[in-house]
Amino acid sequence: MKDFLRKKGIRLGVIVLAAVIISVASARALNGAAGFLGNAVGVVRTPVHQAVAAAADWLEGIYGYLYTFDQLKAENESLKKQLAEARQQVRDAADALEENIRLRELLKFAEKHTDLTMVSSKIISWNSSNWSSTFTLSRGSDDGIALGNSVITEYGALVGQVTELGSTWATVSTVIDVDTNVGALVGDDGAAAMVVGNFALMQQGAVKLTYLAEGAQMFLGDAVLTSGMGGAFPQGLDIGTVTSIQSEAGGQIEYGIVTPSWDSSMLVQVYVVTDFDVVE
Amino acid sequence: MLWDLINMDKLRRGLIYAVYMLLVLLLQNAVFSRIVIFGTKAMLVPAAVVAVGMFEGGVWGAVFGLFTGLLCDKTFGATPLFTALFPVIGFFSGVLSRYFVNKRFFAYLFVSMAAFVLTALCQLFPLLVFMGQDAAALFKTALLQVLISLPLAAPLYFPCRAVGTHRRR
Repeated sequence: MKDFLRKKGIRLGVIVLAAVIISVASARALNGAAGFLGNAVGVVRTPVHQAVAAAADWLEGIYGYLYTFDQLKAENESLKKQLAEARQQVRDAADALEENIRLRELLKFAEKHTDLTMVSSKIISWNSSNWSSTFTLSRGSDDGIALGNSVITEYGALVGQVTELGSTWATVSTVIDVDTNVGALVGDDGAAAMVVGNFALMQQGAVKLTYLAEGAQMFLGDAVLTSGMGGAFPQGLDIGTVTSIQSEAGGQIEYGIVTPSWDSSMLVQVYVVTDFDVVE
Repeated sequence: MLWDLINMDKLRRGLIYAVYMLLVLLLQNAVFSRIVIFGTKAMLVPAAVVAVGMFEGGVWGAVFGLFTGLLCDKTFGATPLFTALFPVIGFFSGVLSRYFVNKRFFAYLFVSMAAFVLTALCQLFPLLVFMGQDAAALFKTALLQVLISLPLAAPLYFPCRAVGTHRRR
């Protein structure tokens, strides 16, 4: 050991001292720029450092993933729930907007017909039978609805009449049903006529206009309104428009085909008229 | 003691057919009331009554038909038509499968078609006779109702066959 230090130590010390002196001198001379050796070391060191840093990052990522997995999962669930709630709110808002539009239209109609008392109701389902045209409402006698009440849209178009009633539901036969018999006023003159259900026309979503008062005439596009006679329906409700004029009994009798103002595929909410002034 | 008097097999089958009936009525009211093909909706319920009658016999078919008819009239019939008609369909399906036809799928389709025709004729009868509606339109709707209902009624056969086959083992 002593021999080794004596032989090599002095040389080693000299070499280290020389290296330090060279290094300090070159650093001063290059004024901060890397010298050949420093550069070479840097060139070799950089990718190694990068690889180590990448490996460290990767390990840190795995550690972080393991450590925060449950937290992220919970956060994800929470965000999913928030998203679902937000979507529901958007849907509710869209429904509310549509309902708002309907109610605004109803308000305009109600301002014109102050005698009508109405209850709004949603349509739960349409009848699956081919032999009648009926649907079920979400409200019944508990809400003041009675048998025979008229059912209208927000625009005041006659949809039908309550024909079956429960405490929380009501069945409505539409105006195109085969059982329909409504007194009507046709055109600008207000000629009296009857709107009568017809099976073949019901399949096409229309209803028959017949028994037109003697001497009166109907024209295509004529508006057909309820006459209010008999007290079953309020006066002036829109039944529909005359879309075709036909004749029967060898051309002796003329009748009209009335297409209602509402579209069954678009009906969502309707209004049940629970009270109105009867026309004498 | 009371428990011993109850036939568990019959009770189990009764419950299965009650669930089957509710599912068929749900299908009829919630799904097929919205599907309109050539302006006509399918009427599947008679086929369910036929299937039960064929695999369980006339008495079970009639009882199943009675309850199904009652519920049908309460949900979409304005008259007691189905309450009267479906027990008859259920009973005669059982009689037919016992003496005249086998219980295979095509026999079921054949008896179902007869049940559909009978149902459609009973539905159009009051409109034709008492209300004087156009016969051509009525028969066209009846024909379409039968033709549309028949292929859609095919799946109703298999649950009854499964229950019936399990019982015979």
